[in-house]
Amino acid sequence: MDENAKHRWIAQNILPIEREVRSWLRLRMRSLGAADIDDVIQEAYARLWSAELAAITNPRAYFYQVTRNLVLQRARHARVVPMELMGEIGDLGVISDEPGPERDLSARQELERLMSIVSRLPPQCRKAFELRKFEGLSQREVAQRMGVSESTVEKHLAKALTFVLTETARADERAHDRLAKPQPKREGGHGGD
Amino acid sequence: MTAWPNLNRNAKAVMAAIDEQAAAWAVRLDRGPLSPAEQRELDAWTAADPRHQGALIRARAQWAGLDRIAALSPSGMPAFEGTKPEANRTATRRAFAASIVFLAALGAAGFWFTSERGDVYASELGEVRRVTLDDGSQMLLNTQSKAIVEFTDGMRRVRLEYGEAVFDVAHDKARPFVVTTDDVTVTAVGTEFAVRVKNAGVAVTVTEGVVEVKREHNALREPAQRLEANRRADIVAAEPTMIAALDPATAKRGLAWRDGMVSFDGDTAAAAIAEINRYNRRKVVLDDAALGSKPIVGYFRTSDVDGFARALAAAFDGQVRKDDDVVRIMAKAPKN
Repeated sequence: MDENAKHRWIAQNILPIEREVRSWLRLRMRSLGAADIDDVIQEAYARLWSAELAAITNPRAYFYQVTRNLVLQRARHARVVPMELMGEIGDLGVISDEPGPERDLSARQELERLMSIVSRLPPQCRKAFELRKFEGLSQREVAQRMGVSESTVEKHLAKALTFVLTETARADERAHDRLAKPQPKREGGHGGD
Repeated sequence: MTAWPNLNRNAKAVMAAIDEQAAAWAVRLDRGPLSPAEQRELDAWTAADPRHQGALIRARAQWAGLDRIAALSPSGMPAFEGTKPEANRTATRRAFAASIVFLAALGAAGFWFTSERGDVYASELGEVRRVTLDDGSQMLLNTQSKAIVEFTDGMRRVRLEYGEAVFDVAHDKARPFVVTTDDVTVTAVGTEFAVRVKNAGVAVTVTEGVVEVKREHNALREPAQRLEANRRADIVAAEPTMIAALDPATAKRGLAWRDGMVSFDGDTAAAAIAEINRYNRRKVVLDDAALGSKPIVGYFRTSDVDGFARALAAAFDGQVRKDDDVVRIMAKAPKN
């Protein structure tokens, strides 16, 4: 697989489940902070890069596996065994990678999520992005069309991509913050921890 | 106590900066081949921090992946807005309904009757039982517990025969709320606290307000002690009362059973096994006693014996063997 094919493979098979893996880490591994999760996710991508991608039949299970191993490695350094993660991973075998209505839906939702992020970009930034990605112009052509320098286009595009990347990483944190609010079980009671 | 150091204050800024640099490089690479100077700069950047390489791969993959949204909506407008939340709400409702059924089923398992001494409440193995007392106070019985409740005009008395209970006490200055066990008397006015009768001694944990703890067979002649919120008193016969300060999270963690969970954070494997075994008929046994002292981190449903055992075995690189009433964790058979 050449570099571009690898990027596309990762984009298609791994990026859509990144948020899911992040929330899995966050919910199951309460001892992991946001920065720890970021580290683990980034390292998982680096591991993925050196793997034989074409040989991976179940990318989802594979990514979970890689992530789990990385957390275990960290745990060994900290000399603590993260059992919760292990408990959860046992059930991963059950997760099927066959495309079904739900998975189609989640792929679609993922695209819609990206689309909604793009729609919130500042106008110039969004325009550069749309010319490059929707109309398939090169960065040079985008610069000509918009009457700006190539380096300005580059800055717009980098800003757009940064926005997408950080939104993906943070969206899960925010979703989790909402979910993590203890549900009132009784009057004056405490939520569980 | 956490497994490893959590992020410091500016860690988020560092994370955001890495994403920003990775995005800049991804877009630069999208523009065309790098000059030799740029290539050296990129190499230096990826070598500078182990996180950079992964961040760049992620950024480039995301950049490539953004091609696909063009297919979704060439006009650049988000499509299908407003359809998904409804589906999500339905799913949430269903999950909620299921948990209510689960709790209701649990509630039916214990028993209750009135004896000469008062109302008797008990919970079965693995059961958590919530009881609203006449004054509005809440009593939550943990697995295998029994309490006798007797209210009079001047006193609200609960005798905890065995097991563990949390009390959320309604305010009533005229009628103190008193929980007794063989070893100790705990007096509260309006507060929340837990009492656990152990094989040896009693533990009293206060999560709200103040209680007074008085020992019964008090060879040491200790005076009654005030126990404030986020303190735990461990009382063992013939030993002085030990009072430990807990951070609120730890105090609450000990009460995770109220949500049907057990939570471990640096507890030894042996202690964790003893804890999960409180709730289940099938007991977890660790074959290699040496592993019992290893600290573990975990969050489990109290009834999830198999998940717990599987997790522990995997963490120790061992295996699980199920006998009749025992789930055994043992070393892996050597591979040939």
